[in-house]
Amino acid sequence: MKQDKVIGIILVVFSAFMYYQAIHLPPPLFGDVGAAFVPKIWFSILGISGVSLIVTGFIRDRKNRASGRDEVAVAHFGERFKGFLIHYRFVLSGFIIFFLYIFLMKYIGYLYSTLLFMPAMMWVLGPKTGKSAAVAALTTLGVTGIIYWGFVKVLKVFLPTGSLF
Amino acid sequence: MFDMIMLGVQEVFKPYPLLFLYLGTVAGIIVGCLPGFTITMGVALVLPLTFGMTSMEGLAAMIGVMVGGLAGGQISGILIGIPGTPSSVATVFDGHPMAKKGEAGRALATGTWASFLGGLISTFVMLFFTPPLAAAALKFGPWEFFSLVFFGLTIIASLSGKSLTKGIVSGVFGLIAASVGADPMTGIPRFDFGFNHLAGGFAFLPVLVGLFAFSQLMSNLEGKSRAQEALIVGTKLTFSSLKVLKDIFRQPFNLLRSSLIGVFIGALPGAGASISNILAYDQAKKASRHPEKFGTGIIDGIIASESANNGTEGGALTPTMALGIPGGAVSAMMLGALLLHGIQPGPMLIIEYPHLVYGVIVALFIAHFFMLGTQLYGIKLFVRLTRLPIYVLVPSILVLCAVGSFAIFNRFFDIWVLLIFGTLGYLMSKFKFPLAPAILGVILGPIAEVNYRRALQTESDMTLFFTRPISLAFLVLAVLSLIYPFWQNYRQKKRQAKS
Repeated sequence: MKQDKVIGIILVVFSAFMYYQAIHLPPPLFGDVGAAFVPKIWFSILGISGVSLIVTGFIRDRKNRASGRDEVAVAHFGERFKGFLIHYRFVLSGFIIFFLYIFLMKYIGYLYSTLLFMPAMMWVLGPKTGKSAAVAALTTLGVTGIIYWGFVKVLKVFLPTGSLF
Repeated sequence: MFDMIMLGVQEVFKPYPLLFLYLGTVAGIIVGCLPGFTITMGVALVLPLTFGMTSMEGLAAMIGVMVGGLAGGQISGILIGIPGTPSSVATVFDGHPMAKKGEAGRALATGTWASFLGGLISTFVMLFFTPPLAAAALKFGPWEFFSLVFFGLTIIASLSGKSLTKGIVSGVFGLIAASVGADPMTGIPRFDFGFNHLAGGFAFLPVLVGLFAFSQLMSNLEGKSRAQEALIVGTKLTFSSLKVLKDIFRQPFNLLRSSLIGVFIGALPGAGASISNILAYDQAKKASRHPEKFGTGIIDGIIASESANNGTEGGALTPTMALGIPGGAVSAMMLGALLLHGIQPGPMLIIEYPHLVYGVIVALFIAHFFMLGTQLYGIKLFVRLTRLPIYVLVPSILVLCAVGSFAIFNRFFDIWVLLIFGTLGYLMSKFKFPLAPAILGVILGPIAEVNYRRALQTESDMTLFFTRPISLAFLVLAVLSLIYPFWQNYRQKKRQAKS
């Protein structure tokens, strides 16, 4: 339950910081209830919930120690990290590629960034075979084209054109 | 009344109103099943097109989008676990587990029939109960609205799963996200840290898509070779409508209760299908003899959610047509369409333009038959989505999510919001924080704040929340709703101890 205690501490610090920010909001022009009133309630509840997570984490630890079910590291840090990377490699790749996609979209626009993003993502996630390459190429052209046509031509909605063009 | 209905029939049963009603329904289903698109956005896109139509044709097209969108939201929710619209969030709780068990066809057919029946019930309620329902909703002051929303927020307790504290954290996280930006009462910027984009607050859509869609997509990528597998394996494509109907009619109270919840919530300004589906799901779970099975893939939850979200249509259109007060954003746009044609909405509408008011009721009725036919016959096409491998599906949907987030306000910032809330949603689910309470917080937070402050500005006396009968009734319901999960837990433990 170490995770819950760490999350609890983060929540307490975050709610205290935000409560402090709320205090500095302008006072109400009339009455007692201003812009800060309701957010202060939310931050207070969040802080109390954070404390609750910390306390229940400690209570659970004590119970586990008493019953001999203490949390023990089952593997060496290096092995655990390797296991983590294997399990989450596609997730991490997904986050990084999507981040780069948004970053690039701002400069080169929807069309070019999507034509780069989709094959890159499918190459990382999918099997490296000729068939999957053909599927990736067709899907990229199809999805990019249909979304462009649907939004820009039919729905008359703007898509990012990119600041470089 | 029969004469008035016939007047509406004459108005709708012409080639063009019927054509636009059908095209609107198909467009609505497509808009509804695309994650990142909202029904409001679909109706907003239809609004400019109504310039070239008669008022009845324009209203018919918008009604079609609304009915199709509310029913279509379940398709992506059931198939890939991402609700197409906020109105189908609760459908995912049982619909997606059913699809994972290979019963996607049955889940979709149940949802479609429940949407159809819920919509028809709401149409009849609109027809027969318009005056008293609208009058009741009109009596609501900010005290009643706050108490109603507070009641809605207590649902967090039953959506929390194993840890109530984590459920509360998730709910408050949504409430805090909704409080960023201009203060809804005074316009004072809150928590923007000098960053211009934050002064406008977070748009609801990228937050919802991030928390629910993005995080779900990333979860699908976990594991060594998951990305190369299909999202749902062994999905049964066939279903029997007769069997599905029998299953639905075995739960008449669930269907009726959920549809009426939809009608009532729809009639309240500011509240809509995004609230009613969760509320109906919660009530169905509480009334069930087997609440522990909810969330594992049973049809009870789908019936509740889908009949409630389509039930909101009649409720939302009742005050819109009877009094000129919109029940939600979609019906507000319908009033906009009327104004475009020089028709003043209000209590006089039913006297001056009875053909339009009853035309809307008839169009709402017909649209459900269009929706039923299109969605039932199109289900096999939609189910084909599930055969796509994850490595093809994930990038395609991510592009759609990014573009959908951008398209609402043409703001690049909203795509970053999508990524930030997607990351937070993913981390929350990894650390076992339920996501549904966060969504509830984002939806209900601003309504709760505005009405609470409006009530205290009108009258600083806090006791009014408890002395006004309707407000008190909602507060009592809120307390009962908070106690109920604990009592249910106690009862279950007692039953387990006995067995």
